[in-house]
Amino acid sequence: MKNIIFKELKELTRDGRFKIAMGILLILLVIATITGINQYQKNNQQYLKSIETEREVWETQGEKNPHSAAHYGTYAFKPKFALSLFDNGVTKYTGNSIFLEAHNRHEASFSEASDQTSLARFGTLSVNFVLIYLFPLIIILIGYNAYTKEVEFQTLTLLKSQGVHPIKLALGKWISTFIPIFILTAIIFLTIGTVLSRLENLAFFSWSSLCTIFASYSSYYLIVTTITVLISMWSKSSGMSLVSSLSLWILFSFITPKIATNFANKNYPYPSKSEFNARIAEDRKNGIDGHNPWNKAAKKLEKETLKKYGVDSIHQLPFNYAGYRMQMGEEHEAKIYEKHYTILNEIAKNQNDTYKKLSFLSPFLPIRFLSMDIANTSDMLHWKFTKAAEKYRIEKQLFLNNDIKNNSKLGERGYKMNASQFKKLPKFSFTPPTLSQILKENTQNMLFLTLWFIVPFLSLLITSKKI
Amino acid sequence: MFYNNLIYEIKFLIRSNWLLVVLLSITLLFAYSTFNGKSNVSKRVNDIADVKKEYYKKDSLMLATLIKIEKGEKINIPYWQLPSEPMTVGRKHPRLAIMQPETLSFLATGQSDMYTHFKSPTVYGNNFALDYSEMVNPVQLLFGNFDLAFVIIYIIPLLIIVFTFNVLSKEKELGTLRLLGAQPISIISWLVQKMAIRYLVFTTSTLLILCSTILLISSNAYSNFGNLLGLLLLIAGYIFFWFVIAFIVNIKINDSSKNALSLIGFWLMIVMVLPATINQIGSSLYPTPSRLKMINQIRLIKKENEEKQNDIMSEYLRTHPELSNGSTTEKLGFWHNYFASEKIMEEKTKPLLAEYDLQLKKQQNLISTFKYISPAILMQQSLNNIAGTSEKHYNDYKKQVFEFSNTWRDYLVPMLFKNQKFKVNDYNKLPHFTYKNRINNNAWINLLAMFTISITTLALLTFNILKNKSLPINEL
Repeated sequence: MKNIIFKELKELTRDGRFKIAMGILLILLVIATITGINQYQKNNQQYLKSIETEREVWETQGEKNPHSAAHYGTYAFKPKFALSLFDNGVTKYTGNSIFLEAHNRHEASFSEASDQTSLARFGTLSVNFVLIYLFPLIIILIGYNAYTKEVEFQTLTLLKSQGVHPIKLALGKWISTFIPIFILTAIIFLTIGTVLSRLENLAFFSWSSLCTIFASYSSYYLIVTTITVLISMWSKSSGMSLVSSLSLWILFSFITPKIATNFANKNYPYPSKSEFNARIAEDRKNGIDGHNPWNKAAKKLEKETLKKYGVDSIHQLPFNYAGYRMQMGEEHEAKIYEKHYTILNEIAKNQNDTYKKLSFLSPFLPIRFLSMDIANTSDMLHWKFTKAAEKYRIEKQLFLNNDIKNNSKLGERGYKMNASQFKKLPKFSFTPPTLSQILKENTQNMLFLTLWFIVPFLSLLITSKKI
Repeated sequence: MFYNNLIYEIKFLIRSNWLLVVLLSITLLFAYSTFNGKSNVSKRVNDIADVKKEYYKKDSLMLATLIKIEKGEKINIPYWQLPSEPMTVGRKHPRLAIMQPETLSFLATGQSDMYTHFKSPTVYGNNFALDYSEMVNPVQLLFGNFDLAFVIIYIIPLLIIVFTFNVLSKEKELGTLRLLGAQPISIISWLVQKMAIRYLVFTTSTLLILCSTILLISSNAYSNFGNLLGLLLLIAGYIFFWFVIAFIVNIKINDSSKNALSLIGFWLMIVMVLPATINQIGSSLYPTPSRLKMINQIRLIKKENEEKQNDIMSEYLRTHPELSNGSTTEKLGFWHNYFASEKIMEEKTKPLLAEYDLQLKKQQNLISTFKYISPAILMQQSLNNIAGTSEKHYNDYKKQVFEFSNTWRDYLVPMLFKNQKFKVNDYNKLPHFTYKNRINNNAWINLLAMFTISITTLALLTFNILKNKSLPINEL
């Protein structure tokens, strides 16, 4: 088996096509890394500056009515995660800032994609683009004629007559197809890790996450290697083997994800923004409105509060009822938002499940989701960020409404909160899930990847004996 | 000789399974993608219908209330919600600004999955900075749709490769190339004729299948014959480009396996690597202005001008203008002050946003010039233009909505300051929004560019042949 591996690798180093392809790939990788680092640093610096400026704006508002400050609002900014340099995931489509104000829960605004031309829909040359789309092609280029060339040059009979064990032959071909790509991938990850660890102000970088992505990609390459060698075993000619492997690559990487998109959209459609907002408005209509003391819910609250404190009028309450009603209104509105966003989140989960279920058609899907999740650039991470921002918004409202409730008098329209109070509002911070949490959430993806490896590998071993 | 070649080629193609496989694949791919495109358009139309239904419902309620008010009946709603107030109509009953799909929108999803197709600009607020994004799962945006544009740009070239990769090399591998060399025709002329015949067969079949699919699934596309014709010619041009590439590879390499590999390499470069690289390098060299920076700048402007605004009106009422006092004199004063205070902010932020948009437009135009480097980019932009789903269409829609928001404000605000009540009769006079597709699709220019790229590539090859005078096909 050792001889087979050495022979195959020696042949590969002499192959001009392989050298050209590797040359092109390395150039692309260098471009992707340099431009990626440049963009990352610029965006990260802007992110850090934005947090600082926004906090300063908040803290130096001066004396102000707390509810005016609540409408003046503040922003929650999504961190630029270190591994986004490797895999940008859906970040381009999600937006990085959320405006946090009274009464309303806002979506993240200004996605990068909406500012770009449709050229961006072809994809961006990133390290991940090269690794996920182009490296499998190199594997195909190395392995498509692993067996067919022996048949075409009539050396297979010769090999058999020398008593080579078919399984050893298959494993030799398999390992020699995988080794070059494995070594190259290891070098790339090591380089990226070294570069990243030397960057300043890096957000949430961990070698363990990078190593896990490396292990995931290596397992994806093992799958592609196994399928390529298997196809070469089954094919009658190198041409047929190449066409079949390439067709599968297109099916895996392009056709299945797009078909899954159409399935997901058809089975679990998202409501339009207008429909979503109308549903929220409908629910809000009958609830407590912090500004409307006359509606039914407000009257009911007033009655309950008076009863609870054993007084006849809101003027007799030990606090400013207007602030209390405002907070109750906020809590009611927050619950409505939570209800509707939970429904939306369920739709998103169902859509993502559709992709994951279709993983039996393509190992590309589980590796794509796994990679995004570990790099903290998936839509699930974005959901976690929006939830954290909403939690902070509610806390901020409580902080401001409590000030009205405890420090102002009923009907005192000109009340202003002390300027120094604004500094007391805790800062927004977002911590992404730990690696173990991410892996736990990706059990299904890892299971699919394992199955995608085991089934073709067993077929490879069985078929090798029949040749 | 051409006649013999034609008869032979047609007989060969009819007897060969390849043509059947290719045509069957095209039929299935076109049918599925057209169906998907049509479904996406139907969802858009249904969403528009739903929002329109809600809009008419709200309007009838408003009209019913207005009738009651005019009859002098008692109305049990707060004063700030009375539809007889022009500002209530302007804020609570805005008109719908709808962007209806084009007849060929099913062709390319383009940017349509990111943006909303209806907006309701109100009488006050930041109509120059409305959010047009639509609710969508970002994973869907990442993977994209299986639409006709995808089939045409990505899959058709692969089918052409399958159909042409071994036209000449096969003769060599079967040992019939020497026989061909003995014929009274040069090998290059023979290959040109053979490729031309295959091009005609492939293009005619593809276009016929496409026309039949469109007729079956979305027949109203025929009502826009000019665009449809532009589309068909663009596809013919794109196919021509790939046949030119296949022709070059057949002549220069002349080994089936190597031909296939080289053509796949070209496909990768043109359809995937070049667009992604151009996008990445373009974005690095000419970055879009930072939105985070813009947010910071707007916040600082807001902070700096707050005092000036506060001098005119307290922030509390600025954020809740509906709570203004109901008495006429105070109300007029309120709205005067309101618009004055808002104008301060608008005057300060509008130039910043305008500058930002200008910068963005410049960057987008610059990136757009790269489309001529790869025919795949050229094709994608052309298809989006024909489908009415390009970024230019959405930018223009935003512009039209903003223009309409001014019309809306200019109609209602004078009523307020003349102290006029909004009446049932005024309802029919309310301005309405009609979206106009003002973007030239440039189909003919793009078609010309496509053929120019193909012919230049061919000319470069001819020059190369004349210069080197050595080709693999001479090694008979």
